[in-house]
Amino acid sequence: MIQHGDCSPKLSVDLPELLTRVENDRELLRELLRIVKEELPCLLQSLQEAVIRGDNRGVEVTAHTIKGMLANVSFARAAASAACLERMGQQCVPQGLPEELARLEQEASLALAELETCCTEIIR
Amino acid sequence: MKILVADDDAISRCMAQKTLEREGYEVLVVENGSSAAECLSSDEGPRLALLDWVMPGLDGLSVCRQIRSRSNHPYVYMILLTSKESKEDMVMGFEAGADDYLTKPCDPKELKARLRAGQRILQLQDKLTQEARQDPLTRLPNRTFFLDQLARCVTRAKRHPDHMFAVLFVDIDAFKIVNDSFGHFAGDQIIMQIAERLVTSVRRDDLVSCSADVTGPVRQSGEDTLARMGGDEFTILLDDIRDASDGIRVAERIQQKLVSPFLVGGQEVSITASIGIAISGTGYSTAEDILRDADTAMYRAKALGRSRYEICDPAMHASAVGRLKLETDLRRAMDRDEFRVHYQPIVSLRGGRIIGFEALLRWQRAGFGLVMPGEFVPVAEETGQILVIGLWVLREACRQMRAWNQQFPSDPAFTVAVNISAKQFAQPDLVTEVERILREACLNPHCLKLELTESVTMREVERAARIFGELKSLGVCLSMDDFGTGYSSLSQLRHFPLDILKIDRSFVSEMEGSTESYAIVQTILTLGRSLGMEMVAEGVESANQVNLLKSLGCEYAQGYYFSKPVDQEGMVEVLLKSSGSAYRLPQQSVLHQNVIRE
Repeated sequence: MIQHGDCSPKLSVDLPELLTRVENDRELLRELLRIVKEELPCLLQSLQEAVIRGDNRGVEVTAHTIKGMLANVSFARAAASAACLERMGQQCVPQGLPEELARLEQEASLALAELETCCTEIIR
Repeated sequence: MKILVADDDAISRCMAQKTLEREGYEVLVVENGSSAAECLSSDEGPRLALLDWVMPGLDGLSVCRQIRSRSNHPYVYMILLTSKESKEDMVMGFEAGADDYLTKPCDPKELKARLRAGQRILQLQDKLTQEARQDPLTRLPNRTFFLDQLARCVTRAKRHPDHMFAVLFVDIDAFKIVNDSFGHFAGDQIIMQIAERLVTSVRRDDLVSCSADVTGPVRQSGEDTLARMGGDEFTILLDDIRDASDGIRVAERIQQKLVSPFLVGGQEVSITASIGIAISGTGYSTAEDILRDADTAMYRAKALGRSRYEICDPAMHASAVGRLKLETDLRRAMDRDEFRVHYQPIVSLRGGRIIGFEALLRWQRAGFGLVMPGEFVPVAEETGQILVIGLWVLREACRQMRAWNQQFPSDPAFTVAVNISAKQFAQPDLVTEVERILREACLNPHCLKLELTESVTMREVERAARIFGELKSLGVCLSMDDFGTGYSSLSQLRHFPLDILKIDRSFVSEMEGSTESYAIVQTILTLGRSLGMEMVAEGVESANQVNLLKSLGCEYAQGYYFSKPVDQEGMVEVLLKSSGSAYRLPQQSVLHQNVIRE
C-alpha cells in the first residue's frame, strides 16, 4: 500500500534550481513555461481518462511522462505527486488514485501560477 | 558534432536542445524511438545520442539494442536520459547497450561533461578502428579493410549484375632476396616506396585522385581501394569498371611504374611484380572467392616467368577447383583403399628373361578411373602425403615380390624396384622403415632395389652417402633413376655405392633418330660399366631400340616393347605363360644400325 506521505512535499517551484538548469537563459525559461501551459493540460486529461478506465499501465506511463516534465521545470511537489501516481499505476493500486490525481492537478496549477509570476518578475 | 535527442516530452527536448546547441553541437530532435533508430542507422547519422527510455512505440532500451545489434556501422555513444531512477533500471539500461545513464532532471553541466567523456571514447574508438584497418608500415588499408570493401562490392554486384569490379593481386617478385640481401629495414623502405608507386598507378583519370602522401590516414582512390595484405603482397579493388581492359590497364601501369629502380642506402634495386586479375563477371558469391582467384592468377603469372599479369579465366578457376578436389580426394584415397601398384617387367637383353619388375603407383580414383602418378604425385609431395603413400607402395611391392618368388621360383630370384621420393629420402627413419618392411614381408633384401633420382643424391651429398651405406648394409640394391636428366656430378657419383644406372627414356626414345642421344646412351653405358654397375634402359618401345641397346652392351631394358605396367593379376598371367624366356627378342636390324652410324 502506498502512503500519500511517501511523496515528500517540497516547494511548489524550486526557482534557483530551475535557473541553474536553464543556465539563466530567460528566453528558454519563457519557452518552457509556454510548453508546460500547452502540454500539461493534455497530459493531465490523458491521465484522468486512464484513472477512470482503471488502466493501470496507462496511469503508470502518463504519470511517468508528467513526472519527467514537472521535474525538469522544478515543480517539486507536483513532480512528487506524479511519481506517486506512477508507482500506484505500476503496482496496480487503484485505491486513492482519484485523490492523488486531484492533488497533482492542484500542485501543478499552483506551481504553474508561481512560475508564471516568477517569469514575469524575472523578465521585467 | 551531431547529436540526436530523442524524447517524447517537449520540455526535455527543448532543454536538451538549447543546452547542447550552446555547447556547439548540431542537434537533431525526434519524438519517438522509431525515428531515433532510423536517424542513427542512416549513413551520415549522429555518433552521439541522448535517448529517453519511455517513449511511444519503440522505447529507448529497444533503440539501444537495435543499434548495438548492427555490424559494420560506426559506433554510436548512447546516453539514456530518463526519469527511471532505480538501480535495476540502470542495470537494464546498460545491459541494453547504453554507454551512460542519467536521470531527470539533469544538471546541464553534468550532461555536457558526460558527453565530452563520450566524445573522448568515440575518438579513441575511431583511432583503434582506423589502426585495426590500416597497415602500419604503408598506412594503406589492410586486409581487413580490403575484404570489407570487397564484400560490399560482391553484395552490390549480386543486386546489380551489370555492376562490374576487378581485383588485382600484386606480388613483388623475389622480394625475399631483397630482404636477405639488404636486411628487413631496407626491405620495409622499399615496400613503402612500392606503395607510393602503386598509389599513383591505381589512380584513374576519371576519378578523384588519391594522395601519394603515405603518412596520411587510410586512403582510397575514388572508388578504388589499394591495400597491403602483408609482406610483399598488395591488392587493388577497382570498382565500377567497364570490362576486363580496365584491370589490364592498371596492371600495365603498375609494371610501368615499377620499371625505374628503387634506391635503398645509395644502392639501386630493381623490382618487378607478378599480378593476378579476377573480374567480377564470373558471379562470385563471396569476397574470399574472388580474392582467391586473383591470387591463383598471380601464381600463374609467377609460373609463366614473373613480371607479368594474368587474368583468371573460367578454365583457371576450374583448374584451381580441380586441384582442391584432388587434394581432398587424395587425402581420403588411402582410407578408401584406392591406391594400386602396377608392375612393369625388367627384361634381360641376353635372352628375354624377366629378371624383375618396377613397382609403379596408380590411383583408382572414384569417378575418374585410373590416374597416373604424374597427375597426383606432385600434389602428394607438396602436401607431404607422399610419405604415407611411399611406404605403402614399398610394403605392397615387397609383399608381392615375396609371393611371386614363392609362386614362380627362379634363379636368381625376381627383384622389385621401388621409387623413393626426395621427401622420403629426407626422413630420418627411412632405413629403419625399409628394414622393418623387409622383415614383415619376409623378403630377401637383395630382391629389393630402391630407385632414387639424381636430385636426391646431389642435394646433401654427405648425408646421402651415409644413408646409401646404411641401406646397402641391409643388403638392398640401389639404383639411380632417370640418369642423365638431372644435375649429376660424375665425380660424386663414384662415391655412392650404386648398383644400377637407369638410362632415362628421353635418350632411349631419341637414339634411333638422333646421333646425340645415341652418343649419350653409349657414354652412359660406358660410364656405368666402368663403375661396375648394371645398366637398365627405360622406355624401350621398338625392336630397333632393343637391337641398338644390345649392340651397345646394355644388359637390361623395360618399356612398352615388352609390356606396359600391368596390375598384379595381369603380371601373373604373363608369368604363368612364360617358361624361362618370357619375351622373344628381335632379330638384329642391320639397316637401322647403318642409318644411325651415318
